[in-house]
Amino acid sequence: MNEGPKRSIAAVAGIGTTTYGVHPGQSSYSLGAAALHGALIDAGLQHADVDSLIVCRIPDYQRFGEMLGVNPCSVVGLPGQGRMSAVALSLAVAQIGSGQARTVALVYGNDGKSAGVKYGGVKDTYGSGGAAQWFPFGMTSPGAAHAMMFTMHAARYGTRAEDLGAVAKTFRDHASLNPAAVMRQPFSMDEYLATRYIAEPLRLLDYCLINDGGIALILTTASRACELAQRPVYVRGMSTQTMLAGSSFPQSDFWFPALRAAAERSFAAAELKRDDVDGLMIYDNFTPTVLFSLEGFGYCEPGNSGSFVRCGNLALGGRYPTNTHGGHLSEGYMQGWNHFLEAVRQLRGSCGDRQIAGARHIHYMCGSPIASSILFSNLP
Amino acid sequence: MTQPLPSQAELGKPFWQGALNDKLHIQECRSCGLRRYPDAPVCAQCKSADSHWVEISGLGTITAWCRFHRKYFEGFTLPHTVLLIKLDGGPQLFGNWASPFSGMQPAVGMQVEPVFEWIADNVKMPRFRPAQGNK
Repeated sequence: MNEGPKRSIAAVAGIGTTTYGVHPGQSSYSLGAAALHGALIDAGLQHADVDSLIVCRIPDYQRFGEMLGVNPCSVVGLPGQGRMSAVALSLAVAQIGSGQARTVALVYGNDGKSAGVKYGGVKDTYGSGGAAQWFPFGMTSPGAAHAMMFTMHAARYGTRAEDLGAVAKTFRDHASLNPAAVMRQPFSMDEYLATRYIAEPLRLLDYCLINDGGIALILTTASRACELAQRPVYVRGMSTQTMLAGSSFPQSDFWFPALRAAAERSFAAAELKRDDVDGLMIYDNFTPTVLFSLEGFGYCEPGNSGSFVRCGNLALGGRYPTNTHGGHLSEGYMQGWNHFLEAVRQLRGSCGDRQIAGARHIHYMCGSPIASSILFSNLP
Repeated sequence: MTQPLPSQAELGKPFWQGALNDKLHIQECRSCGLRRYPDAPVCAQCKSADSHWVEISGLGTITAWCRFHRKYFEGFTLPHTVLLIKLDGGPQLFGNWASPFSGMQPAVGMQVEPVFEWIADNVKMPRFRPAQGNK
């Protein structure tokens, strides 16, 4: 049995980010380098202090290290899939916990907008690159797979378009309070329902954005983080659980067994309960994922997520304010990384108009074939 | 321009050769009997590498669907529907409506049966229509 890392081995000591949007002339390398620079300044550290470098979506770790002129003890490059952000964090915590690393830099660079990256179709290299066998059937794209899962959920539980619309609206309302968000204009439910279908039953506003940007985090040991410039944000508990078997197809169980396993292990490691949680960061590539996550990670019963959202639980001022930055749907599609940043900001108390008052524990969750659950806390 | 055509990889050929004869052929594990699609060199259930291909009826049930309003491929007229079908006695398969039914509203739980249609000079494709007979 995988018990996962012990409680609060590691803490986030620094964060850095570029703006999100269109950055012509930039690359994932330059965006990642700028974010790393910011994260090191935030932590009060220098490039030479980094003894483990983990890059994500930056195509070549060697070139990135050469460009920066750094020689960390270890380096690894992870592909540009959203599920990999938690894998990267998990690796960093494991390295710190085992003594293999003291200071880990996690660097994510995404030039998808300017590079014209396609998710779906014959030129897809990110979203469903392994799915070419389905092209003769006209099947492609992560959005279509999630649309199919939503039709399963709707058939089983009566979930409606308005439930998805409530998710999209809530996150857009949050983004309207966030100057860094790409999409800040609130919309009504009627406006949501009037937007065009992409892969019906999903509409344009059910899809995440595509944008450029870079993000970096500095992780170090919990004890050392206390000596650095910022208030530490502890990775108090975390766990991942894959569901690779049968994953060519939309999953009729909405990944629930994996989500539940990851959630229970991370809560046990963190010695926390859902009642202790002050806010959620939910991986929102598409609106249905948010509903599946609320149910699978145990915040409501299967089938009840639609009413759970429509009652305002996810809004600022509700019981579990969620994606207070606007999420992938409205702040930017930074594949989980901007959710990590928002969790850290909430726990530092630096969110301004969108601050969750007195936030102590924030739960990040990702529903995907690599399910992940992370409890960030400002208490070790 | 034509729609994307199937790979001519050796392992998956029996599926497409069967379709030329209006038959649905599916890979079956000789050790535990699990039928699988897409084709794979190893059984996901018992891990045996021993397999052969068997003919199945192609009758099945729609378990999910979506309808593309955005163009990703040549050769599909928008909007086009993709069905997810649980085959009777078999695995899942993505599929499209047979041409006369292309505008049909799909529903989860609907029973369907295969129809084989030419999509290129030497390629036939299993497509689906609402099941006509008693099941």
